[in-house]
Amino acid sequence: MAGAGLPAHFKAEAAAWLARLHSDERTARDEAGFRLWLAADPRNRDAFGLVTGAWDEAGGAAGGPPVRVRRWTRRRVLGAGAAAAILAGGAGFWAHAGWEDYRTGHGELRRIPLADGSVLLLDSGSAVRVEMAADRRRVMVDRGRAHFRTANDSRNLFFVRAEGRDLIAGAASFDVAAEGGRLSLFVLAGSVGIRLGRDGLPGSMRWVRARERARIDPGGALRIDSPAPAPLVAWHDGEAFFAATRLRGAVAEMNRYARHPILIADPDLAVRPVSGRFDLGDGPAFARSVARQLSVPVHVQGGSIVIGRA
Amino acid sequence: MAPKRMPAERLLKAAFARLEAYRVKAAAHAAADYPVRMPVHSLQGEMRRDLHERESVRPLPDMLRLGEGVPLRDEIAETHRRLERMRAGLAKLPRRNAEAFRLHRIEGMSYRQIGHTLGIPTRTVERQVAGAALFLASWSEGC
Repeated sequence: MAGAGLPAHFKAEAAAWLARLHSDERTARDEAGFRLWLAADPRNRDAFGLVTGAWDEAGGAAGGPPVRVRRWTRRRVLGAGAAAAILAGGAGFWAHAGWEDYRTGHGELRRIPLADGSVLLLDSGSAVRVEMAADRRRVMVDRGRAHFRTANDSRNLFFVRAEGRDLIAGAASFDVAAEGGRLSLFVLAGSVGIRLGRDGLPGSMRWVRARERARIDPGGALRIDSPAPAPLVAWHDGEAFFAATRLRGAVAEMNRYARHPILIADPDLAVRPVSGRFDLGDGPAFARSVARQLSVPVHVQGGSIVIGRA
Repeated sequence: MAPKRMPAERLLKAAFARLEAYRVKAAAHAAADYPVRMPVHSLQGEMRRDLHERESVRPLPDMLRLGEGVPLRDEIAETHRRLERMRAGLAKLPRRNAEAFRLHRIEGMSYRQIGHTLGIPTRTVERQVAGAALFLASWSEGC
């Protein structure tokens, strides 16, 4: 092929130019310099063809079906200068006024279009703060659960902070839940990076891809799995979808929205599986259905719906 | 890796120094030093047109655009083989190059975004992307 067997410095220069041409800080002078370089020696053209071909192929190769699992987590901890830069991008980055508060009450779902074209869907009992500026897009999830559909912006990434972790996205669709020191990130489309260092401290990045869920417990342990999406995202449509879910979990989900809390009278019932699709606000229908599934009675007692016999 | 192991760091350092020299030379032609927003591919396309129009200059190799205007046939198998090989090359990229390259080439992030994400200067991102491109070019030569 053309370019094969060229002295290494031709290829290195071609790689440098290619990287420069792809820079968002590329100037007209770079392009003029590139043209001079290209015309200076036929081997420059051959080398550039070789490097560009590899560049194009690499995009095709990586964009194909996943043939391997690559880990991006073992990145060496950065040097002191880089650590300072991360701090600047971390703790200091977040200490800034100009936030707008959004909250939802019990049983309330709220759709919030953001200035950059992104959309935020805020779940019941949640609180977020949003900052949209020309040079930054940030959302702080203080409590609860939110769905994000972030618009692409080649200049500014979309930053989300929840439970002290930074999540970083370009154009993506994902759910973030922050509760009791636990962080859950479920990516529906695109990919979202999690910075594993807390509170902007240095730490490696873990890239979470579409249909993957990352959970970090209060101790900092990270787990990644690929659950079925439908039950996890039913709340976007104001629904709950249970497929052999433990009653305890299903009741907790319904109680996020229920006007009348649902109680489980018999602890043995709590781990029994229940299934079905329900309107999130319709606790009574849920209670009747699961009581029927479990062959137990259901009754109303002091403003609560009680499943099972105490 | 390449036929012979190259001190890639040193090669790239020298390469960027040469690049800088060409920029200085270009400045004599009064090219403004302001950011441009033209997509790279349109630059490459324009460049190819330029080269085609000026007969004294050889056109760039066709591989600039994989498969464009080239009759397929056995080339499908050949392309598959090359992509497989490139996948292997991607897996062998030195880690610090791989991260920046992947974020840019696959995730479509700008150097600035990557620098912000990884907490490194934009110029370092550029250097790492160049290192990855050099590695992959040398790797693809082994085909």
